[in-house]
Amino acid sequence: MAELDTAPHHTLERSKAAGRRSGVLSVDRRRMIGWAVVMPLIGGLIVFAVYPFIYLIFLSFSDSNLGTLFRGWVGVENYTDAIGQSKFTASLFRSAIFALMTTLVSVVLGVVVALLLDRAVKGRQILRTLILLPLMTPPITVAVMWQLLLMPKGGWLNSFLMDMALFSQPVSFLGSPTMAFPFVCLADVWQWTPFIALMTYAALQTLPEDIYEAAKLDGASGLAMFWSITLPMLGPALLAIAVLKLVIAFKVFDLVFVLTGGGPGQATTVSSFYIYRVAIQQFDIGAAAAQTLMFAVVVGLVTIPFTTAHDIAEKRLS
Amino acid sequence: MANVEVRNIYKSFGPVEVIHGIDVEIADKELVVLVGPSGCGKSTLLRMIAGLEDITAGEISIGDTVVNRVAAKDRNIAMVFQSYALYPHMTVYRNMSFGLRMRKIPKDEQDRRIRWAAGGLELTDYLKRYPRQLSGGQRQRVAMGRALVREPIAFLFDEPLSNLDAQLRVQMRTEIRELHQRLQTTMIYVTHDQVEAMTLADRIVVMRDGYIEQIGAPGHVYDRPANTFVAGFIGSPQMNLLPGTLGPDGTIALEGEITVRHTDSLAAEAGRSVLYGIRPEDLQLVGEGAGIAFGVDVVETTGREIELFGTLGSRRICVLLQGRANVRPGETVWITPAPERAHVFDAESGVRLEATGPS
Amino acid sequence: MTATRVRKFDGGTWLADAPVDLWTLARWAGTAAVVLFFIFPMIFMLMVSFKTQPDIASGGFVPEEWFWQNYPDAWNSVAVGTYLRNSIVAAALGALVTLVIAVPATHAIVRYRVGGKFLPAFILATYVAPPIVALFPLFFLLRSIGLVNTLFGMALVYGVMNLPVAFWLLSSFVRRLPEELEDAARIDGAGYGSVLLRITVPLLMPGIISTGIICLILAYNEFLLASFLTRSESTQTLPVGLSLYQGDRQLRYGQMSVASLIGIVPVYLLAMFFQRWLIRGLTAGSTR
Repeated sequence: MAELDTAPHHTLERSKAAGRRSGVLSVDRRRMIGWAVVMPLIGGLIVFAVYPFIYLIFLSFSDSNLGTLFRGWVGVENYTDAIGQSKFTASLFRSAIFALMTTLVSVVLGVVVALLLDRAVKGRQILRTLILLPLMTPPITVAVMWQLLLMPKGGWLNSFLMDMALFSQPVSFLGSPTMAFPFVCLADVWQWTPFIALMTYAALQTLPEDIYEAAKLDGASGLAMFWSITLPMLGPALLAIAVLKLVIAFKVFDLVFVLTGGGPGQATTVSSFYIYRVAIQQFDIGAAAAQTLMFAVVVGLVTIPFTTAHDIAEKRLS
Repeated sequence: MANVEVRNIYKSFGPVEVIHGIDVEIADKELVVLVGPSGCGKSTLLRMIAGLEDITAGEISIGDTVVNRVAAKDRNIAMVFQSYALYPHMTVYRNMSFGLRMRKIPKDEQDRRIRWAAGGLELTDYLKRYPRQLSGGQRQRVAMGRALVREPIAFLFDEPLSNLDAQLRVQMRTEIRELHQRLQTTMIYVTHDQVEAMTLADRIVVMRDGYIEQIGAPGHVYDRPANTFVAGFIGSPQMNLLPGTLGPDGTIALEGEITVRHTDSLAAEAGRSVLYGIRPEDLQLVGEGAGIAFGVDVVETTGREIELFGTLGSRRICVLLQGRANVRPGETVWITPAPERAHVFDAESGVRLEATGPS
Repeated sequence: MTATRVRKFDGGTWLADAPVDLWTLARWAGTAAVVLFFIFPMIFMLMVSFKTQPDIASGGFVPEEWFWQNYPDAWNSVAVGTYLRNSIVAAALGALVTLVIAVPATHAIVRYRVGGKFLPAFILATYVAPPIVALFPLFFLLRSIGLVNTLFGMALVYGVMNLPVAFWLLSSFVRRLPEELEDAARIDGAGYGSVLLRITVPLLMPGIISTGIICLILAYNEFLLASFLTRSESTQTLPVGLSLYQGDRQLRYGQMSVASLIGIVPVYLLAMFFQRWLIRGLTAGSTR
């Protein structure tokens, strides 16, 4: 073959239109098969998320009870009723507080545990397994455990406080309008802190060692290192973890169901529990549907600032 | 066996066009190296030939069959990847047999080919091992073996030696060259290493930013680079490029009232702004006051050669001396270029200026 | 205890210089407190399971007298065995359904960008909705196809429920698989199915196992949907069975503790044996 130099591109005649052909090849075909493979997943999402959502929208404009659905259309009455019910709006507020409180406490505690885990030279394996257990425990059982600890007659906490002579009379923690809510939060923190600790621990392992070495050479000490390096670098991961915890916290049901049944009064009635009762005890599915949708909006409203913060933090670091 | 033709190929990823209509013809049994800086599109072109990327526009044919719509698995080509891409959950033997099993080659034939390839690559003792139990060099051989047993119509190599240490790289380079001579099969080899390109190739394709800058035999590309990019990219240390003005009678006036000569009979008129190119080894030391004064800033020695770096006019240049010379930083030496080794490029477009055409 | 090893957060010289100091002590005290906090409720429940009703009311920590009778009583009075079986069947079948759907789908979405950026975001968004959203519509759907109050129906519900979680966990595992392996297989002559089954799935096995266990546990622990969608002893899962104790006028704490303990034994055993896999799965999302 003759050694012909090709013309440099400056003089290259561009005849793209002539050469252009659609090429249905490997990548496109793979994507087509891919769609087929993804279909069951999409089907599942439709059944579990899209269909319920649409169904709820219809239900929410109807007069429906558990026995007979769609007995008639009532317009936005279910919504206006819900807004008018201070018990419902209070439950929304309570759900948000519950989510934010338990997230804050369990993230702070989770970071501490993660740091302890990271520094533990011996027994890290055992420590991790132990910490894994609360997470594995069915929430119903978590509730039972805390019920046993907190019950007025024979609960460990009461006996302990009375032995310490702090109380003379047993206190019904879960029966107290002021203390019931914090203790439900505590049980939730007990269950979920390990999860956050493990995630944080994993995120810690991804931080580059040389940055710490550089900071060491710059003269940073332990605490300064944590505030000025570990925490900022962990920021995006922590926010992502917090978002996850928020979402999970809004789902809380079992704890309330066993520990307090929403009481005393309405003191621990979070939205999912309130809605459940409207449906199960009042059989008013229409109202429950409207309230569910309003609850979903609140979940979104509370979560979005955190996802936004996460996106900003992530951008700043990269 | 197959020739490979790339005709007016375009490639876009979303809205970004990365290959802008290129043509390459690769003859049967030829070893062609695609070389260029990272992001030049060489790997994308190779992956299109392999069938791993769709072709946005244009046509690729292998053995006179247009393969645009032929899936990678049906092209009967083999590829060696930079990361080797060995299947970690399979032994060396299973790694090599995978492609044969997929093609339903009879068991005894599989075994025959694997024994043959393993023998040639000194892998016979490692057939039962897993990739993680092998050294980097051995893994690279397994990747080669996996390609070899396929007895494909063409071999594709995507930077196969980049992950090896320098010594092994040189050794494997020679082995690939030997392999090509023995097998007489078309090979397309992608690398960013111009030394690898020069030593391996029958022909080199120099690419930049999705365009082909030059195609030619290594010696030709080295001696007659088509433009300043190729001139700078091929050859280490780089060719010195100095701005100047074309004078009458084969002279070029450089900055600092230096005049050099060239032997090309240029059609271009005197007074034109040009870039004067001279490779470091084409500059020679001469006696004091006899040539161009050159202030040496840095002296680097490789043992075999000495590189002198310094400034000439406003440009940093390099002089490459064979053998020994007693030059210290800060000294001034006198150098003279070989006129017949000079290259002249248009200052604006960077295109080589020559009237006589390829010699 | 000689802490001569300077670990990365110690930074300062204090730890390297002083083998035992206040920080080290504080760290040990902190670790001990954390461990105590997390295991104490379990231990207390274990203690209660060995107490008589009056003993429970007296409020001691250790039983006055080890009372074993709670165990046979709990087993006989409520259908703990049946509940346990139901839970395991529904959870295991559910996890299987999740994996069969999620593994190929996640691979396609991550590797071939099926559904672009929208689909992954959409999948994760569906996880945000509290399960109460799906409760009633699912109930009516299952009722219309006759799957209310069946274990098979529960398994399907769990299988679908955990799809977003499985997608989230698996996608980080898929992303970590080198794409070139699949390219190499394709060049070696493997089609879509062969690449998936012979290359991707074997290499994804750690991720698949982790994801499977996590989905299993999530389904095993689930209460709200089960309480609404299962109505009889033959289909009710263990959390539902446990919740039935709460309806008693006089809570049988001892037996309830026994039943709870029986319920957590399978998950705790799973946690012990698959600790490595679990942690790898749980943390997959935060280390991508």
